[in-house]
Amino acid sequence: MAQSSTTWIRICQDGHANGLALNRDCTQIAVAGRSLLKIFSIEYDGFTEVCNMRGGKNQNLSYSSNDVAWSTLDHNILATAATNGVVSVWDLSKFGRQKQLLVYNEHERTAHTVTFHSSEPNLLLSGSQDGTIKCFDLRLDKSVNTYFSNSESVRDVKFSPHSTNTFAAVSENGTVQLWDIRKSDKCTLQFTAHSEPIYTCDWHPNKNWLATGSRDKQIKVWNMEGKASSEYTIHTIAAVGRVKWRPDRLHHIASCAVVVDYSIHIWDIRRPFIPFASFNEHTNITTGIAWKGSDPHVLLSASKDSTIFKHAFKDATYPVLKANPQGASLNCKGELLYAYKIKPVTMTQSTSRNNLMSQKSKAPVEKDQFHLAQSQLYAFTMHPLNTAYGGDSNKPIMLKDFECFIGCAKEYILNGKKLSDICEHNASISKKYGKHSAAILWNYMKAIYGSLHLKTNKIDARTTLSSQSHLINNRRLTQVQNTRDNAENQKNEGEESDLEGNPNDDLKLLDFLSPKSGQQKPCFNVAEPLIFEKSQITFENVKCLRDGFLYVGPHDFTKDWSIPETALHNLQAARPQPEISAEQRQEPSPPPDPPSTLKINVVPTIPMWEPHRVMADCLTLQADVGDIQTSLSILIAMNESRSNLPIEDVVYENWFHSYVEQLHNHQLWNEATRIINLSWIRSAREVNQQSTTVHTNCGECGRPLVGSVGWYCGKCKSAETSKCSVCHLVVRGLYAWCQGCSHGGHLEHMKQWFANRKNCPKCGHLCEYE
Amino acid sequence: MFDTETIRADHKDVIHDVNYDYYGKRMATCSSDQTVKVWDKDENNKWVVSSSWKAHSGSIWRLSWAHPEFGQVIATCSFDRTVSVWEENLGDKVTPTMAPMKRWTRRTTLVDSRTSVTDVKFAPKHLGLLLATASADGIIRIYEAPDIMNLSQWSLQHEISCKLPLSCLSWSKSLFRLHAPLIAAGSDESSPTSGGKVFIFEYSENARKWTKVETVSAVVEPVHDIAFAPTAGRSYHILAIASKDLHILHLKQPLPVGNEPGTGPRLEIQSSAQFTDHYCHVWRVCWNITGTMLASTGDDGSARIWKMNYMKNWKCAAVVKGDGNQSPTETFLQSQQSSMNVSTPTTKYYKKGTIANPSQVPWH
Repeated sequence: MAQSSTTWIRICQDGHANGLALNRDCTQIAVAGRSLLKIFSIEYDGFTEVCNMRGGKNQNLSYSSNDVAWSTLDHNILATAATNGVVSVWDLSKFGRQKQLLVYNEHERTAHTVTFHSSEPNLLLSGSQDGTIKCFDLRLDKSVNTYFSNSESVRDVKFSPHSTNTFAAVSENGTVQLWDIRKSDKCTLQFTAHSEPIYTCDWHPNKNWLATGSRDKQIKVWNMEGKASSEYTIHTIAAVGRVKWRPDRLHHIASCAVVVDYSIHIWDIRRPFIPFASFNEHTNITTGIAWKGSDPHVLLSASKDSTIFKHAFKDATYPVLKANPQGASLNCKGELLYAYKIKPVTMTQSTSRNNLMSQKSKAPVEKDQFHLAQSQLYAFTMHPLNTAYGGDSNKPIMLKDFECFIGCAKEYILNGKKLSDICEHNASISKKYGKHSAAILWNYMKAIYGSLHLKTNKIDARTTLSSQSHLINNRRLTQVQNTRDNAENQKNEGEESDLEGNPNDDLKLLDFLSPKSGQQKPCFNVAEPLIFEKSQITFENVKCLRDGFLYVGPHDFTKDWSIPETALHNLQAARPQPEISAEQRQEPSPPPDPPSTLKINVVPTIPMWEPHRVMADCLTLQADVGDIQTSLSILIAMNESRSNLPIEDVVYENWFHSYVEQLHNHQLWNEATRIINLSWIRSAREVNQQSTTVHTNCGECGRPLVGSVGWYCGKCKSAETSKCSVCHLVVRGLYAWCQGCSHGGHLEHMKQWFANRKNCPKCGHLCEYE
Repeated sequence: MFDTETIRADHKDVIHDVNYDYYGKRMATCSSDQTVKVWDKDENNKWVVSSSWKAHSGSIWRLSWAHPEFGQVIATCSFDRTVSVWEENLGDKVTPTMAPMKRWTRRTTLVDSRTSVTDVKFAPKHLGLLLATASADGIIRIYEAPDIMNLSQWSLQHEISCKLPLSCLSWSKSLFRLHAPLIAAGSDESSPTSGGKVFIFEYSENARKWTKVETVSAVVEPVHDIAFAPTAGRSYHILAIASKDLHILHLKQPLPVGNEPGTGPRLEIQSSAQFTDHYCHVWRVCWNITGTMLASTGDDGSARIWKMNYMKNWKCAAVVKGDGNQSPTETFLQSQQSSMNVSTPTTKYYKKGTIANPSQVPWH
């Protein structure tokens, strides 16, 4: 059978459908609603209107129907339940007004539902707001039986498909009743199913199950064998209006809501939280649903948006496919939480050869395993990754990233000492925690900025072999020659330092720094003329040089993880040793892997050796790869010298905030505060001044101590409560007081007093300071 | 390489999200079974549920912790089209007899969405107490609690409409004063013809408006998750995208002209990496606090750890797996001999795999 596709039709202009019914062969659909009763034939690609029974001026209230039912045997017989309580029977074979075959005006209030008996074509049941259920025989013009439900309103009645004389009725007080149609005096079974009104029920076509849908947003499935017991509960997102079991699927049931949700959901009752499939086409509340006979792939629905839809299952949406089946989270310690949905693979397919097979065949199986949804939650804690050398012993200890971070945060010295000592100390700390790159940076810093007599030297190396002073193409390389000046030259050097980064001044500088001739400017009385010996380095670009020189080795985690010690040695071997450069002032040897040796006889460009630039690049690189701690610590330690770095203040500010945030993440409050206090950026320092106001109240009268003096109460006209109970002077500074009696005084005095006493010095209250 | 702890979550359906709080000391899980569970560590350092409650009447897709400065606050979003904000009652003395469910109270329910709310995220602290939600109808909503002491009042500040259904969003985490706040959102629309699935929005302080500044055309597959890395002082943003592949983008937010945020030239987006290592859909991405480590999880039931080296190249550092037997095994994956090593002279050693029994390894 070819699968039909989703189609729809607008059924009327103003009214809307309240209910729908299919004829026995499922070829026609009856739609009933406000001023509406129409029959459409269901075709492959749409609907065609067959009959409109609201004809002419025949427009009394009985035409506003709540529900419609089609006789299970007779093609032409329909019944409707009207909002005024009238139950009408219609005969489609008649004409005009004659169509309304019978009118039972017996219910006192709205009739909510009508239903035909499945095998007795003349038996009709109706349930009403007046709390009664009436049974009609189409051959008689009045009801044959009335069943009093003892509730204010019966919302739905359904004949049981399993027992000819039984029907179920659900009511607004949350009860389900089972009746024997022959006994109108007493129901055979009654139980409370929901805590709120039940709007609908449906018998399972095969099993003796009754599904009930309620305003409490739940669908419950009751096993009606013997005493009713709850088998399943489905939690929907809105009050349930209708439920219908899906034919041919034991566990599937369709539902629609009376408020909020316009969609039709098909649930697997074994997975009660998320719909198996949904139809989202309607733009208003869906009021009626029906499966097309025994076809589980076609669902018909009517809605308040004045349309009826024929939904094809292939067009359904599957919410679970959009649902993310996994969750993951990392914390500051590098621990990973990972929750994932377990693939429902049966254990029989556990051999590896079968696995391939089972994976291929999984797709079709998956839908049947819809209800087998379970997640597994894992917490992964990483093993230590960083190699570190604790103390003097050269025995490596393994540390985790965060331990290194915390260790460095706590042990770095950032001020109060000579820069070289700070650098040395911090380098050793970095080393201790396995941050070799940071250690090298510290050492580098010591070399550049550490020695006192170089303190004001801004440029300590700038030479060239060429008098060509174009800055172009300076990436190709060259020879680097460095000079170092004596302390006597500080002043001049300091002046020259301003030339840094200014091309025009560079020209000037280069002019007098003609290295071949050694014509230094007279005042450049160089004691150790060439600290950095000429060396020829070939490489691709300056960045590479920088990286090769200071680049402290790609902190290659994979290496660290696998063979830490060897990697370390390798790092140290491959890396130019900054200590050497510090002591011997030697340009580092070429990078271990010169891409290609490039020799240029005529050196066309200027060698650039700008320590500040390099330093700034290093710090920026360090920050870019996520080690803001090192960058910022170095910056703080640099103190005044940092003004030489070509880094903008906003960047510093960003680094400050970022680092403080990281410290907070690790709950290192003291360290964060230290950093904030050492900040030279106003906005960063202000962080410590926010929310530091303490509001005090007078200890006598309880009024807030406001005004220019914090210790004088305007109401009591005294400063009594601000006085120390021991020395009777107004306390300025730390004031300790008992929260019980509100007396207190100088912290020191109170300490002394309570060292051997327990009572308040003023009132004798048993204060018991901790 | 990893210690694994299996946690009995006892959720009755799929867990959709798990999240550490700001300090990484607590966690919360949410599930299709409509409950949220908050976990703390007991004295043996094992995770135990400290609270569990039914939070919604539909599947709970995601949750987000607010910065602890605002209290112990969780926001959840659900299939039932609502977003709820929960606060832990710490004022009342929690006695052992007190039922644990009473500890978290619903402060508000945000009901503006007409469809499933697929993601919810608190903004970084420095922007205030803001909440962004993404919904299946393609609308990002931004709420603000003007009074941070009153979590029951949230005003809808912005509604940003995208054409496509949204599945996830992320705030940029930059503390850089001159960077305007960004939000990245991803769509799980499945047709590749509808173009890029990742949208970047920028807030303009002057116009007081969010505007779409970029659609990442490189990602056309449905996007399941998206996450900005903590900027941690970097000059650029890193954005991880979980789609069919794992994408890592570097976003350079240009410095605005005249120190006025949001007036600068366009965002520079540079694709830093694209990995197909999961061989299937990537579902989640998450960062550590320094933005140096990325975890991605995929349909293959494994989580992969990625790290960036000094050349700003990303490599897979580890794979962790919980297998079908529910006894997770860890494998360690060496990084592939990638071309990037040419320029990193010190990268010399690789490990090809784990050796379970070194004594059985034959010598050559």
